[in-house]
Formats: sequence, C-alpha cells, structure tokens
Amino acid sequence: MATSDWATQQLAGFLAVLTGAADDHEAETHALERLAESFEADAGAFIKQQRVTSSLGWPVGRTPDAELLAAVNSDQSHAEIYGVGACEIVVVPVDRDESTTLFLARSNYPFSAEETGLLRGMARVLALGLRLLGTVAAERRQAAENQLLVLSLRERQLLSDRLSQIQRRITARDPLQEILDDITTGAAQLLESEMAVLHLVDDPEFLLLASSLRIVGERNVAKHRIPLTAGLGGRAVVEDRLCIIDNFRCSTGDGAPESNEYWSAVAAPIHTEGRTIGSLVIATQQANRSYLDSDQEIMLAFAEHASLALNQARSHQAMADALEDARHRALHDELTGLPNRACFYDRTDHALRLAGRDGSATAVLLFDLNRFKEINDTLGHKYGDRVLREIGPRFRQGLRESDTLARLGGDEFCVLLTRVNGIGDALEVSERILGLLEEPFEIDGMTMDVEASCGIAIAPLDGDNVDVLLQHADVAMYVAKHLDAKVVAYNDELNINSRARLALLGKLRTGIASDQLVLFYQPKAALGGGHVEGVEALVRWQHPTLGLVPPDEFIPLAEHTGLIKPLTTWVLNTALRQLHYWREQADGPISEEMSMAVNLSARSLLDESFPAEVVAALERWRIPAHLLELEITESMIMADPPRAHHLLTELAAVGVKLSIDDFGTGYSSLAYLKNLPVNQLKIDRTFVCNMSQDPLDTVIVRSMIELGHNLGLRVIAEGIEDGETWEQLASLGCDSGQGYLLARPMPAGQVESWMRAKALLPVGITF
Amino acid sequence: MESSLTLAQSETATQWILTGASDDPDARRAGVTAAKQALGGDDPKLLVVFAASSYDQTALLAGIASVVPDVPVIGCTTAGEIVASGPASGGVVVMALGGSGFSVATAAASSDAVGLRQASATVAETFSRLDPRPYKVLLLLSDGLGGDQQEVVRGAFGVLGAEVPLVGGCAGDDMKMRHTLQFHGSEVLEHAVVGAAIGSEGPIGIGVQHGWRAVGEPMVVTSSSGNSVLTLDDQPALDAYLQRLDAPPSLGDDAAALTLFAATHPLGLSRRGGDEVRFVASGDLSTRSLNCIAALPQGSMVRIMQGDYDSVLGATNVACEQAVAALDGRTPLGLLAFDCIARKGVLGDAGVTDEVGRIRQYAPGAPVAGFYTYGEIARTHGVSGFHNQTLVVVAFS
Repeated sequence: MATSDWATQQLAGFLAVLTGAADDHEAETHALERLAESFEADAGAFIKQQRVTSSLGWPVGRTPDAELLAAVNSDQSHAEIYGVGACEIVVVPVDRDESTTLFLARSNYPFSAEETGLLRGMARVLALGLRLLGTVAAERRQAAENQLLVLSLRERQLLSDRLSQIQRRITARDPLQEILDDITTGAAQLLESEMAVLHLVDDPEFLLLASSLRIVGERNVAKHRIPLTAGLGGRAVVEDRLCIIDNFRCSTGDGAPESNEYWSAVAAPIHTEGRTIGSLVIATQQANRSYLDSDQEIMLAFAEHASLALNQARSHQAMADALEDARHRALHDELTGLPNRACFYDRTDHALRLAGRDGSATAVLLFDLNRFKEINDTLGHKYGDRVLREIGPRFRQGLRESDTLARLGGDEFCVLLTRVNGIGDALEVSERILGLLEEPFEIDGMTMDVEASCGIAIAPLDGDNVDVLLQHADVAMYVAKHLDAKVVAYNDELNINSRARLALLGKLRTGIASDQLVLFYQPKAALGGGHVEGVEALVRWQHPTLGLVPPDEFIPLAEHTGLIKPLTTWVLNTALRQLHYWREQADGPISEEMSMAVNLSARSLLDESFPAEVVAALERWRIPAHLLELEITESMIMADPPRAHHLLTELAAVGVKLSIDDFGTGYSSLAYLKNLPVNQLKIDRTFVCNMSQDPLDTVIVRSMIELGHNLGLRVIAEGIEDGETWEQLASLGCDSGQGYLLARPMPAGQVESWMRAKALLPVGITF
Repeated sequence: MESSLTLAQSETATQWILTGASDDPDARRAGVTAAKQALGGDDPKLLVVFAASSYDQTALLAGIASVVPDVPVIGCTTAGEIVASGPASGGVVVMALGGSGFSVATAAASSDAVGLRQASATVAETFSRLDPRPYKVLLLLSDGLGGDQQEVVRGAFGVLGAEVPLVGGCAGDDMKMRHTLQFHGSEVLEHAVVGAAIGSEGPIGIGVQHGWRAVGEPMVVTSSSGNSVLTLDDQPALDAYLQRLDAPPSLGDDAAALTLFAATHPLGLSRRGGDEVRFVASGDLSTRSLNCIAALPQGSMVRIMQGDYDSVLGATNVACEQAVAALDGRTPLGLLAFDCIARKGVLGDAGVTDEVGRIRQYAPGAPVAGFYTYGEIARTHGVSGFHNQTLVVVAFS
C-alpha cells in the first residue's frame, strides 16, 4: 500500500479515541498511545508551557523531563534519550493558546515530511477534542443531576461518532457535496435544531447555499442566494467569529431572515487557507431554547470539519466546481432535472403575490407514489431512479406550459397551478395526471405499475402562503393514502397535524435512530396453575428531555406517517432478539415454549412485504414461528377487511400465532371473525377491571369467553389487578391472564429475576 | 507424544534451560512426568507450563507442585503444544529456567473488575521485585477470548516503557473458542493476565514474522464495537468478508465451519511498517458480525490477508534468524515459541512438523517449548506489540 494511503487512514476514527476518555489527562494518554501506534513511535509526550503533562514509553515516574525539553527546544530531528536510545524525533504544536506541543520519538527510521504533515493535522483534531472535553468536564462539575451527566456523555459519544464519520469521508475523498450535507445533517441532529445551512461566499456581496437541512414538518427552505449583510451566517463571515442570537424576538432590528421563524440561532465561520469563505448556521424553533457553551463548541467542531473538507478539495477548480454545482443544485433536482423544493417555493411565492393582486385562485397538488419503495427494494435503486426520471415527462403531458412541476424529494412531486377556477380545475388536473400514471412504465423490457396519491390545497381558501399550502396538501395526501383514495382535497377537519405533533415527530425519528426506544415485557400466565406462557413486548420511548413519552402519544403519530414501519421493524427484531437471548441462556429461567407477543400497527396489515419481514426476523433470531404472537386490533382488520384477510392468511401460513387485541371494544363482524385465521382473543381491560364490582361486566366477559371457545380460540384476559378477578376468570374457563396482579411491564433484565423468583414459588400458587 | 528430555547449559554454566513433556491422559501423572523431566538442574527459577485444555488443570498443577513445591509457575491452556520432538496436542510441555544467571518474579491479575489494561499493568509492576540482570523480558500469557489484547501490551508498556521487551501469547482451548485458562503457581485462573519478569546474564533474542500478504482492495470498518466488526463497507461484516473471499455461501450459516475457515483468512490492518494481521475468531450468525481477538477501530481500513504454505513456513526462518541473531553470537540455551493456531491451519500436520524441525535447526540441541496461540505478543520497537497469525520466537542465552 502506498504511504499516502496509509497516512490518510490514520486520521479516521482518531477523535473517537479522544472522546472516550474521562478527563484531559486520560485523553492525552489515549491520544499518545494511538499516535505512537500509528507512527510506530517508541515514546511520546505532551508538553504544556515547558512542562511534561503526559508521557508514554518510560517507566512510571521515570520520564526524563529535562532531556525531553532539551530535545523539544533544540530544533534537531534526532536526539539521545534515556530508555529509547538514539532516536528520530518530531515536535508539532497542539494548541497555540495553551502553548502545548506534541513530541514523538522513533528509534528505527526518520519521520517523513508527509508523516509530519499528517501529525500536524491529527494534532489539530486533538486540540479540538481536548477543548470539547474541557467543556464537558466543566459542565459535569456543574451538573447537579445525574441525568444531565448521562446526557452529556451520550451527546459526546454521538458527536464523536458523527465527526469520525465525516473525517472518514474526508479522507476517502468522497464528493464534497455529500460531506457538506453530512455536516449540516450532523449539526442539526446533534444540536436538535430544525434548521442547518452551510453557505459559501459567492462573490464579495453574496452567500450561496451549499447545503441545507430541515427537519420533517418544516416546509420552508433556505434561500439559495442571500446578501452577505442579510443574516447571521453573513455576520459570522464578516466578523469572522462565532455569532449567536438567543432570542430573535428580543433582538430587534437584526434583520436576519431567520428572525420570523426561529427562536435562537448560532453561526460559525468556515475557513480555507486563513480566509473566511463561508459559514455554518443552525437555528431552532423551540421556544426558550438557548445554545449553551457546549453547543457552541459542537458548532465550531462541525465548522472546523467543513473547513477540513474544503481544504481537502484544495484546488481552486474543485472549489469553483463546487460553487457552480451549488448554484445548479440550489434550483434543480439532480436526479430528474426538475425544479426542486427551493425553486418550487420561489415560484409559488411569486404566483401567490400575483394572485393576490388579481384575486385568482392558486392550487398546489402534492403527489406521492404508492409502493414505490417496492420497486427500489425488489429491483434496486437503479430502476427506482429510472422510474423517477420518467415520471416528469409523464406528468408534463397533463399540464400546461405555465404550470410548474417540481420534485420535492424522495417520491414526492408537486404541481403548481395558477389562475384556477376553484377545486374543480385542480381535481381535473390531478385525475388527468393519475390517469397518465396508470399506463405502466417500461424500463429495460420490464413493466412496472406506479400509482400515486394526491393531496390538494387551494389558495387563498386553504392558506395564503406556500408553507401552509404545502402542509395542508400534505395532510390531504396522507388522508388519501390512508383512505386508499386517489385524490383528497384539504379541509380543516383533516388537519390533525398541530405544530407540537410535528415537532414530536422529528424527535421520534431521531429517537428511533438513536436508540431512545426500549422494550418492556409483561408476562402472561395460565389462569389455572399460574404457569408463565409468554410475555408481551411493549414499546417505551425514553426521550432525553421529554422523559418517558407514553405510547398512546407517539404510536398514533408514527401510524400517521411513514415512521411506523421502521418502528415495527425495530420492535419485532428487538423482541425476537431478546427471546433468542433468553433461549440461548443455558440455565436461564425461561422455558423452551415461552412465547413473545408483539403488537402490530394498522399499517403493517396493509404492507404486503410484512409477512416476508416476519419470516426473515424469525430466521435471523432462530425462533420457531409458533412462539411469535402478533396482536392486532379489530379496528385494524375492519379498516380494509379483504387486504387484512389476505395478509393474516399469509402470516398464519408461516405458523405465527395471531391474536385479536382489545377484543370487545371495536365493531367486529362475528361472521367475518370466524373466517380469519386467528388463534386467540384478548379481552380488553375495560371489561376485566370492573368484573369484581359490576355483574354486567362479568356477564359480558363470560359470553366473550364462550364465544372465543366456540370459535375454537384461546381466550386471554388483560388488566387483571386483583386475586378475586383472577379466580373469577379461572372459574369462567378463561385460558390465560395478564395484568398488574401478575406483573407490570418491566425491562428485560427484571423479567429474568422475576421469572427466577416466580420459579421458587410452589406449584399452584399464582402470585 | 513421547516423553522427551533436553538440557542445555549456558557457556558460563550459571544458567540452564530444560524441557519436559507428557501426553499421559491422567492430568496429575502428566504434570509429575513433565516436571520431573524439566527439573534436571539445580536452583530452578521458573516453570512455564503449556497444557491441553482437556486436562483437569488443578490436578496437573498439583502434580507439578508435588515435584517442586516452591518454584514459581506460569502457564496456560493451548490449541496445541510445541515440544522438542515436534508439534503435539492433548499433552503438556514444561520449560524450566534455572541457575543464578536467571532472576524471576511472577504475578497474576484478573481482568474481570479492572479490565485487561490494568490487569496487565499490575502484572508488569512485578518488575520492581526483579533482581537486576543485564538483560530482561516480560513474558505475558493472557485470555485471548477476553477483550482487546492490544490493551495487554498497552498496560505493560505504560508501566515499563520502551526499555523492556514484551513477549507472550494468548491461551487457547483447542479451537472451541469458549474459554481459556491461565496458571499462576498452583492456581487455575480465568480472564487473567499472568506474567513472569525474567532477568538474564545472557542476551535474550526475539523474532517476529507472519508470512501473510494483503490482497485485493481495502475495505473500511464502517462500524465496530470493541473486538466485534459489525459492518465492512456498510455491509454486514460477515457477509462482506465471505463475499470478498468467494467463500462457499454455506459458511454463512455454520459457525464451526466459519471459525475453521476464518482461522486461515485473517484481516490486515494498515500500519506504517506493513499490514498488521488480525485473527478472525468467529462470526455471529445472527448479527452478521465478525469477532476478532483485538479491536479493529471504526474507520480503519482492512484488507484480506493471504498466506500459503511457502510464505508461512518462510516466516519461520525469518523469526528464528532474528531471535538468534540478537544473541550477539552466543549459543541459544533454549527457545520459546508462540505460534498462531492459524499458521497451523495453513501448514497442516506435516507442515507444522517441518516448522518445529526448522525452529530446532536454529538452536541445535537446545530445548524448545511453545504452544499454538490465539494471539501473540512481541513488543521490541514501537508500541503496538500485539500480533495475530504470527510466529514469535524467544531465544535465551
């Protein structure tokens, strides 16, 4: 392998070593070790203000400080040092403010110019890491609560992972655009901000958008070209320092374009070769959110990485290309060549202003392809991309020359119709386009069917600005999808997306990705004898600042959006992995036949790829199919009976057990139920918990048990809270029970100890 | 295995090394036989014991102690022993170092509570108890299945610095990859680092060579956690690895076969002086990850390493030459070999016999002992002294 390959690889992952450390000293020691390993050095030291602060390569307490300092100050490239002997040495600055230097000694060969250059780069990253660490340490001292400590450590880990990933991409010379996108995404996610933009100086007066990111739900888009004097990003460039606005509403006269929408913002300058050439800005809409010192450090770290990336793309040509690219990207979608979101915003803004003058109506038609993911999944992205490219011309056939067609991202397309005569026109156009899409797409001799759903919003009726219009068209489109209708026009009743919900949705997306979700398990047992039959997996969301978010708050939200699919996948795999782990424990307390119940969402029952996913998960975790119970509610089945029937039949064929959850609360058609391949009914807690008080409930429960048994199903009661109810249910012939009396939902670790404790009770004693 | 006895005396006759071996299935008797053979000289200072994992190790050590109750012992279980007569398995080999020319201090520390680095550092502290001699080495034996073994080197290096060379190996368990044991005195330990600080009047030579070369394009470790490599080039590591090697797809579902295959198909980590080999110990069929014997940091680049019979055997000569050349022309008293189990996989039974024969040629008449390891330690230059798929030879004089 060529030396240069070797050299660039050493940078990657270096920061991760530093940020794993508990304090400065440990970070220095780890860094020295890592550097010595990378450079095959025999010894090394950190020297701060002419004092050796950490060293490696000498027995404890026997570092030859005086010899080291003499060597460091000598300007020689070799020295004779105790414990190492005659050696080559290299000295590089770490932090000029603190006058810290790094020293390495190697006995067998000299340090090349390239190695010294690399070492300088690593020293820069190191200084950054140490600065970060210092901030975290200071915060830790102040942190009154343990919770805060955990959070900062966790954030630090995330930061280090994120920066390592970016470093890796820089060293791998990935396309500059992708790296800059990684930087904006990383900064926004880590600092939980809704907006992040990276601007580069275009000509002396303007900034050009190089990368931007907005969290889901935020429909506005960064201006692709802004005057240098217009906002916080420009200020960071002009003043060449980190700029911060804590509360836009209080800082009058700032004139920043962010000031209408955001609460606080931070901007950090980006440099190459000593010149300020751009800025990274993040902003938040969360009221009362201030960016703390540690947040500012993180911003500097990301800006520093943007500088690194731009430095890497050293040649002026590369810079010019990047700017040219940015100009084009600012207005067009790369894949399809269609106008992009930013362009769509501009044009809609313009159209709305004109319409305001002549009083005409403007329509926004939002299209989302149905099951487009299947094409990607089954045939690969290449085919998916080809389809996306052919969508544009197909749409165009149904549009006037003056209508704008844009791709907003993914499989979302949007049409802007000006001067329409009300909803009728818009419906007509949307149906015409959907009709055109019905013709199969033929790519490489393969025919593909593409369907779409469309949501329509009309100005001024449904909103007078592009954000609101798109948001409402989006709501209408989701409703269309949910109802399996092709087109839905917006009305206020559809709007269930309050701002808070959208904010929560952004957090949930991060939560799934960053392991904030946990599963709790609630055991169920045979009513006669108390033998534990299985557990039900229940998802909990432990948000770092919101605390424990109840499932009934975030699951419906996930259901309403695409998030339910990754959530279901996560729950299914996590639950089966846990069961696998329990089964693998040689002398664990879990029986061979213990089952795992997982709750499904309505979307899973509409997702034709779901049975295959279940099969794959069972195989992956080597769980016999009959040990998995999938719980579905009556209302899910009744939402689309034929499709549910089809999917449930497929699932039953795999061998998994199907259970009707919350039985009694929906509007089950008994006739329908008996044709479904279900194995079990679960009587809803609302009937069970009042049984001991209300004789009517007892009657209802008795008939449910009989009904279940007549249909050949097992019957389980949930929500048993006292011994009397348990006995009563047992005497009614109910098969199994679940509830606080037996055990509350608990983390996996507790299940094991609970099972062990339970196994110690004599047979026949239930609790 | 035949019982064997070899004795070598230093030219100045102040030091001696002897080995003994037995393949008696009775652990205690095997210990007694091997120890008796190894204890032919006066003033024994240290016994180094390498034993098959099938033995009742407590009985084996009791057998040894019954022959010489007060001599320090360190040792470990193996994936095969190396004795003077050739490679073996299912037996025990004992090397004794004695005479006033040697000084020895031993120690053991469990890594359970404090981690490998601290355990190794604790063992290295034993150097402070060593009677000074002109030449010195720290011999370390660790549990190769218990964490990032580079930490063993880091821990000892942190205490001793560049002055003291480190050698040793990771205990084996006959390729079962479940648990290995370490010995200190009459104690049988798990998850431990055991070590002997050895001082010597004569020079001590160390040779290290692997004989593998990198092939194909590098892959990036896109996700790893400790010794587990989760993804390579963003693909599940196990699948990316098998695919790159054109391995039979069935290996992806067969943990035992995969371990055997992986033993001869290591990964190489790019270093200044060439690729450092990393042994793939096993694959996790459910998470599709690879488990190595030392950490592969996220972001590092790895390549598939290839070795063949000739290159691997060629490395034997180089390692032995290096070790003997460092003795300043003195005749070797005895050789200690830490040989990676993977090399055995490439060489086969005939090959390892050839290899041990070659080792002996470099020190005619001198006793040889060693074992097949799950990882080797040899730090003479620089700080990264943990190796895989490597032969480490230590020559005493």
